[in-house]
Amino acid sequence: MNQREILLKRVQICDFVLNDTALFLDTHPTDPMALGYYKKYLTIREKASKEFVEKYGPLVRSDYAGGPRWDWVDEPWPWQNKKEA
Amino acid sequence: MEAYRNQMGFYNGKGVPESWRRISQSPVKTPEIIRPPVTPGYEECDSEERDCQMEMPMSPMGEISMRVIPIPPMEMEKPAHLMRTMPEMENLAQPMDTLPDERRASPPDCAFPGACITLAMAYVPMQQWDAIYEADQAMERGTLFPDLDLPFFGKGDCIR
Repeated sequence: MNQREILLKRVQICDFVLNDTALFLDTHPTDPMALGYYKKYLTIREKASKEFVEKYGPLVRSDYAGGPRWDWVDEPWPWQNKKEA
Repeated sequence: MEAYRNQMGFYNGKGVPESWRRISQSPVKTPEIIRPPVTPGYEECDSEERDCQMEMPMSPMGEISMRVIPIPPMEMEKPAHLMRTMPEMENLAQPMDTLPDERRASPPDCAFPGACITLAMAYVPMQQWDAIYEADQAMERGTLFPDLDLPFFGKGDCIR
């Protein structure tokens, strides 16, 4: 697993646990443990995605950083990854 | 009325009169039932009086004229095949308005046994933020919560 794949996987895992935690918080909006966990993984996710975007380009179109090139169209597209992230 | 229902077996702890359960378990085939119309005003009959009787009018077909007598507890014990011939007796012995919807149907009319019995009540316990998986394991298992990591065996998908 190269650095790009590791970073992408980290973002993906963060997105998953954030989503599952959000579902829990929907019914337990004041649960301090869940809120703390969400906050922690939100930070990890932001850090990981920031690092990924800087090194390998945007994950979503709004990651556009204002440069001279619309790098959203640059390869690889998700289906060009050698294996599923 | 309450005491009468107790005697009739309506409150046997299971929500189903004992006689109905016997009927539903009986393999005897249902004979065709010709149901006489309900007499207006029969509801005024006080079921607690054992001698309460009422005349049923002629049915539209003209061949039925029956006297309906509230069934005393002992008669409830008669063989199931006799009960099946006149399943409406139970309901006629009760003022219709006091019967919950699910009990108004005669047992043989029920395609599914559940249609004759009290509706169920379900509950879902509130989930607790207890032990949770490590993030990468959660991703693997498809849930953050070990409590919800259950063996679902769906069709057409792989079984973990």
